[in-house]
Amino acid sequence: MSAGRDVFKRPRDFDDRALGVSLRPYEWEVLLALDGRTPFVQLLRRMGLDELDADEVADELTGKGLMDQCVVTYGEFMRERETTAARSADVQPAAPTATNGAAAALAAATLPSPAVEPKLRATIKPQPPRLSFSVKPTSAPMMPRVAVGISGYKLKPLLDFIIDQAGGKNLPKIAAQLAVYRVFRRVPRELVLADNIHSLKIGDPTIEVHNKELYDAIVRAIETTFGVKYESNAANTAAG
Amino acid sequence: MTDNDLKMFVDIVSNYFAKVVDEAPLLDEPVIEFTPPKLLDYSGFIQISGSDDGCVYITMPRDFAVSFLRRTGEMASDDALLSDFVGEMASTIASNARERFGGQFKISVPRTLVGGQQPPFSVPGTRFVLPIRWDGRTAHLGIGVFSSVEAVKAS
Repeated sequence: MSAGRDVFKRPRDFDDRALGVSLRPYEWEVLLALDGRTPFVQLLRRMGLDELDADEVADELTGKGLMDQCVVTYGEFMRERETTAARSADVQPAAPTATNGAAAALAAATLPSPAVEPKLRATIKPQPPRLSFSVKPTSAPMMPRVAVGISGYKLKPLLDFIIDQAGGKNLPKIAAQLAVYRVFRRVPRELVLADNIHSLKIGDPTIEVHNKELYDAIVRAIETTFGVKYESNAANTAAG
Repeated sequence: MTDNDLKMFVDIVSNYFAKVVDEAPLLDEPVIEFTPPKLLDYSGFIQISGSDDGCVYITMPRDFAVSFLRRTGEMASDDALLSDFVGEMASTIASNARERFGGQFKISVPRTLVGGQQPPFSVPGTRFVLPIRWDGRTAHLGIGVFSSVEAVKAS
């Protein structure tokens, strides 16, 4: 596969497929960064991963069924080509600005090369309507997501510690779960969301976070909530 | 607000089911939610203020509300009636909470929201959401307490 200009998206059932899969952390980062419109090579460059072989990464991740290539029908292709041609005639040089993945790849393919002498004239007019078809990222960013299967900092020891502090095993289950909530409401939400966690299933023993800053914030929240010092066990917090 | 204070809301809802439809609901694994609340067809909110501020809400799909009303013998299922029912449930939560908390917390008059619309007041960004399964359908009980940072921002 030549993944350079290809655009990828996560499959609709990405969360299910990701369960139980182990990848290198940067591969998960790449998967979570897929937006269905940025050419793959450009995405890697933006993430500071341009030393990677785009083809190899793409083969690996598509092979595992964790990302799909964005493709368009002939009709969509022709419409986008016309739109791109009209746009490039008005303003040159232009960067690919198509709104969807395959279209971005198309735009990259049909734009004149930078060697063409740029025109100084620019017509300012509203952008033509852009193509819209179903190559948006299927896992909408606002959808709830539970951290799964990614090597990181395991939360189970922290959750056990919270329950111990709140009253131990004799505590009614719901009260123990509420104690966990009482801790997490002190954790800066921005950090949680930055780790791509939109919701957290309290009973899930596999929960992990991937950001050290977030992990530390959770520890601080525990310490503030219960007024105790949390002595982390290196074996529990080690990545992987 | 202690864990037991928060648990009280769960108990009130469980008791409400046990009394009204003679069947306690099944409480599923709760979730801590960090994004805006996902509200279903009918929602009832009460706001809490005192040493901690926050809100408690119950939100349910239409078929949950219809089924619950049918169990109580009410066969009509127009929007107004369903909305009233959720309001009544929230009101029961509020009055029970007032009774138990005494002057410790102020409990607002319930507000009903229909069609998944977001509340016109601020809701804690991190919430405890408990799925309540009954009669093969799921409603959600949400409990949110503002963090100190949120409380400072709001004041």
